Amino acid sequence: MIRKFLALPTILYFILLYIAFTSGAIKTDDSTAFIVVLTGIEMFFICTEFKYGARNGGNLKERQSQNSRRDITAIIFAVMLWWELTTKVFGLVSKVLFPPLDNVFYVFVEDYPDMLKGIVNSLYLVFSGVGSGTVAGVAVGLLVGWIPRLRNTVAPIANVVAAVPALIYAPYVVAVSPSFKLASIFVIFLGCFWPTLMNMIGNIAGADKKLLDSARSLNLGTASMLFKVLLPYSVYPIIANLRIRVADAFMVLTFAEMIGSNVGLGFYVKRWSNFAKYNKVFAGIILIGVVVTAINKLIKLFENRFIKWK
Amino acid sequence: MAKIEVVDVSLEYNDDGESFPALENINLTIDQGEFVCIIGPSGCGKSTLLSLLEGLIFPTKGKIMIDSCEVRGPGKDRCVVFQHYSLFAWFTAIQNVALGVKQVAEHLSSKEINDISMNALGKVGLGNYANKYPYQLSGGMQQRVAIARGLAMNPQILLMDEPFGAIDTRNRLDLQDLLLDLCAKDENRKTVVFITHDVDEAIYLADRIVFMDPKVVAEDIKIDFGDSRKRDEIFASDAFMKLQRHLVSLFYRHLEKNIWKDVAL
Ligand SMILES: Nc1ncnc2c1ncn2[C@@H]1O[C@H](COP(=O)(O)OP(=O)(O)OP(=O)(O)O)[C@@H](O)[C@H]1O
Ligand SMILES: [Mg+2]
Repeated sequence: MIRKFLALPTILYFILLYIAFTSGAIKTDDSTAFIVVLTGIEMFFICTEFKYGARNGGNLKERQSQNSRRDITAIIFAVMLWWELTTKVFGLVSKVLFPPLDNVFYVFVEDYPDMLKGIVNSLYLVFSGVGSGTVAGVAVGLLVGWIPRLRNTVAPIANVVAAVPALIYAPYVVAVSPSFKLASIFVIFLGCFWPTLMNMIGNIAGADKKLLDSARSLNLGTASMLFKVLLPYSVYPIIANLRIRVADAFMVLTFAEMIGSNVGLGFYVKRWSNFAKYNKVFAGIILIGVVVTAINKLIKLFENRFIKWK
Repeated sequence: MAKIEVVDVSLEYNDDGESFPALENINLTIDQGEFVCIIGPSGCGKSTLLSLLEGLIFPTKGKIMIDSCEVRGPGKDRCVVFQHYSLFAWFTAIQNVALGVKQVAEHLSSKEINDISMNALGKVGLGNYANKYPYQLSGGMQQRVAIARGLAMNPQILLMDEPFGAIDTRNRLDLQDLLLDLCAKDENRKTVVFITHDVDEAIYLADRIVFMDPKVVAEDIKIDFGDSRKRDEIFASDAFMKLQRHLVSLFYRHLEKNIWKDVAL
């Protein structure tokens, strides 16, 4: 019981709490948000510790993942502690370039309407772009991968085009498009379509020969072959690809927003770095990380819910 | 009328410019309704021959005819049960069977297809597992689903590659009898080409045993126990034991000190 509370993350938590409540060499904004975040992380850690910790009869797998959870929490707190010590407590570095965490998390209180609007806008663009890009890439890839003649023609072309990162032509597309919205959806679409197409062609061209033989021996027609065999066969690679494409899309979007938008997460980061408000820049970066992670969790949830085979 | 004709067939596998002869000048005629077992040492080309019959690969030399038409690909008259499990992981057992049935019986309603599939699963003893996914079934159970699919598709020619290899003794015996029932001697008998490593199984099932020794047909033996399919009688008969000894000796014939003295038939 006592030992559980004395685990390293908890000790670090109390030190950080002490720092948050006292004032150091540098004066900061209101620390409440920072304290809430700290306490949230610690609460999550304590709860899981009680549920899966060594002495609570969790099975081996749960105990192992709890161990890594403990390590991760400790690392997060340790980094925060190091940051707070160099900035807030001792003021060793520039306050502008390296804002204390109190100030970073305070931004979420101060700016939440802006941030919310940014999230909605960016998500809209990412979902439209990645959604259409994935559907198109999978559909075209399915057909092209299956018909050898198409494959031999399209694959080399796709190979070259897919090798050019969307970031390269993003500025151009933004410049020639009538609206920023259209431009960024289109860039994300392209950035998603080509790699998905390549991925899909690869899945199908490299499909297990035994699987194909058994499908052929059933005399399946082309439609059944595509939708009942090759598409389900590719579901896991498609999802793995989707994860990468979402992360990619955020990169492209953030970049595009930096050039031509006046709303969105990327714009938010860009704007405040122009004003040298680096606490807001940090907050924006953290927010993007959280959003991408949340989307990945969502994909995982979807996968567990709808795919019943292994 | 001859059903399957294999005429002077040779086959070479080509991997990166290296060619490997797997079959050499095979000649084989299988009559309609015949139950032929193919046995032979591992790697002698049995599965290769079956793939040729199914039309998954094509001979480098010679040709394969079914009802006097050259084989140009898989057809609805034929159905294979593969040596390896060949189920689709994303379909349940019954969906796997139904997918096969649907291809050969397009005019049936989905209810009828479902009934046929359920029936076939029942026959192989998997009635209670119809809605399980392949990963939830053991290896032998998966193989039985594949067999159920082959049977439910009710083809004129049934090609089976060690179908009972991974199945326990009791189910194996049941399935042997089930297979014999389905291919019972009636007007419209199925032609079966059945690969096995089990000499007893071959003798019990076959009308004819083809022994392959690397790349060629080494022996072709007719089997006739009359219409009796009483297992104990057949297994206890002299003819059975003689055959068994002979077939086993074939596996050993390249050894100098052959402990299985060749038995003349
Ligand atoms: N796809 C392939 N490419 C190249 N060589 C192959 C291929 N498939 C089989 N072979 C070779 O052809 C020969 C015959 O193989 P086959 O699978 O027909 O044997 P088998 O008689 O079915 O053996 P087993 O009883 O072990 O199943 C083997 O020597 C094997 O190495
Ligand atoms: Mg084989």
